[in-house]
Amino acid sequence: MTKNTAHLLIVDDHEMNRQVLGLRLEKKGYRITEAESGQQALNHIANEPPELVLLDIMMPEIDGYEILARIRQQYSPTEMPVIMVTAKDMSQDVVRALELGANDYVTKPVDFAVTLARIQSQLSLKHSEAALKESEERYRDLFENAHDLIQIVDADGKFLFVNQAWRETLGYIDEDLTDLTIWDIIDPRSKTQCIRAFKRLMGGTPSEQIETTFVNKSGQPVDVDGSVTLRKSNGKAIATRGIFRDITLQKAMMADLEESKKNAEDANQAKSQFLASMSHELRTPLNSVIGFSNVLLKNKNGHLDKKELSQLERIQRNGKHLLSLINDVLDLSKIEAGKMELELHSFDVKEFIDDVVSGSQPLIAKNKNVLEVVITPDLGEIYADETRLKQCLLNLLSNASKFTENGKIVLTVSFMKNNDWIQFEVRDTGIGMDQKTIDGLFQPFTQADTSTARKYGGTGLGLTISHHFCNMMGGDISVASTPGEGSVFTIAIPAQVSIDSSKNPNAS
Amino acid sequence: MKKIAVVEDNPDNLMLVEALLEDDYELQTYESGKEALAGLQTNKPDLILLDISLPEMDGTQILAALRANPEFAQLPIIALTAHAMASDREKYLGMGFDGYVTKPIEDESILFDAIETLLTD
Repeated sequence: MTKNTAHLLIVDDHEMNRQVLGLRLEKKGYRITEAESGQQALNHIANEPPELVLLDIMMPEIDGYEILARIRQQYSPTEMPVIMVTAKDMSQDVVRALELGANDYVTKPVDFAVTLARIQSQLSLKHSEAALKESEERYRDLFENAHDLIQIVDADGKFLFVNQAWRETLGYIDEDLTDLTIWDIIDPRSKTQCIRAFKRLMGGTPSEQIETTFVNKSGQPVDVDGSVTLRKSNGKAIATRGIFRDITLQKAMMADLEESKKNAEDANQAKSQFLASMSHELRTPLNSVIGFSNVLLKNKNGHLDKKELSQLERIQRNGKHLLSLINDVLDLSKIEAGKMELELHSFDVKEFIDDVVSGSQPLIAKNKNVLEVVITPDLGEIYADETRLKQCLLNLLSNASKFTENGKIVLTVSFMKNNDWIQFEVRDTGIGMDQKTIDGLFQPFTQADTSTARKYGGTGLGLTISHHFCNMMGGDISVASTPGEGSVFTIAIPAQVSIDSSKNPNAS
Repeated sequence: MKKIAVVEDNPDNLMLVEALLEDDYELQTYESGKEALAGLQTNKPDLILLDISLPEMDGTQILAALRANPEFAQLPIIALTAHAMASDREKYLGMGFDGYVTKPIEDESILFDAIETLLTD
């Protein structure tokens, strides 16, 4: 408050009166301007408007009433308070002055204490009114410029106040509001919900959170989320105040998202279904191809000669090769569709290796190789996908024996890194590979070259699948090789494979 | 000779199973679930080889119907199927099949082992 430094204008044609009052007020800290005539007063007001005017009525030429009237043309009583100085007992003067917009009066001879009190009272009123006005403007500004929709609705449902965002979102202009009621902007389907909320407010809840639907001027739905409060007087509703956020876009986006998610899930489901049907349909005819060639190869009646048996054996072998291809392609499709899930459990390493070794014996023996197993006793158990790990190791042993003749294959099993990881190394003394071959080794269908494929067989998918399996278990597979000397393949996986490392838990 | 019932709608597959097993077992064959459920009542086998993908009533429904009948509740039943995706073995064994053999039958010994294990139990 700047009460004591306020600028006052004293208008009086008697110099004595002006000076007595002026000096005493200056002592109280006010800044004083004096005017000895009406004209002078009006000039001062025009040049430097004071905060308050002390105005004598009786003056020559332009009297106090005239000046007061001129001031009121430009300034409201709160903007520029005027205190009239009147002769004693002239109540008519007082009435007239108040009618013309004077804020207060003092009578001559002037009592300084009374005058000072009245000045202070007027200034304080002026300041609090100004503060009130400013605060009101601030709120109005906040309401008007808020992005949320704000409305005040009376007991009849008429709009007492709506803000800019409300008008813009719902498409109404101020003129529309006269005939508009709250029920015009509430979607008929939301009516019951809104009535219930209103009843709860009447029942005494301080505010109601509400997610509902409005309709704009052109009839389009507008989804909103907000809160409503109620003003009551003597138990009767006076008005509701609501603040809402337009969530139409948000809801539309959520719906889109839900739909995309559902579509993706459906597509995924369709893909799994397709893979399963594909597997079934491809296997069925192969049952006859492989099965009947097996039956005929027994040559029960001895009718088939050597050449025919050899031809039959080719049908059987190619049938089996086709089956391996189907199995591998399906494995790979499942992996790539994220549909392959790990089946983790604890198993004994020694027993597991025995199992792998016996499974690989026919392959090892085929090219007259020998298999040496280097394994520390008491390896204990690991937690992993036994079937997938076995498939990987059999694949490595099968490759090693395929590309090695009359040689030695060494399988070494060991723990690493404080027993946190287990490593399986398959070393052969076979034909080996150059760098170019190694680089493309884990890509599908990249056996060294087509003649290799013809000579050695295989689907060309084994290493790709093994690589994927090792990755799924949180591990990896690596290779080192020298052409003509042999290759070393190494699988390393955590001894305790965690669920986290297996992606996609939903299998088909 | 032990009696084995084969339920299979595909004539090629049926002929193959016959070729593989006819020397060692007495076979009775059915081409549909309805036929099988009627025939099995009068001629109870020692074991059933049951295809899964069958028209009208599939293998799992036939299994359920058989298991509901006290007379067949303990009878060994093997799923002989081309449904051979990763988790299918667990799925069918979980449903109450006693054995699971995939088509194509790569090696007849797999089928014989599955049958003999259950017959000697």
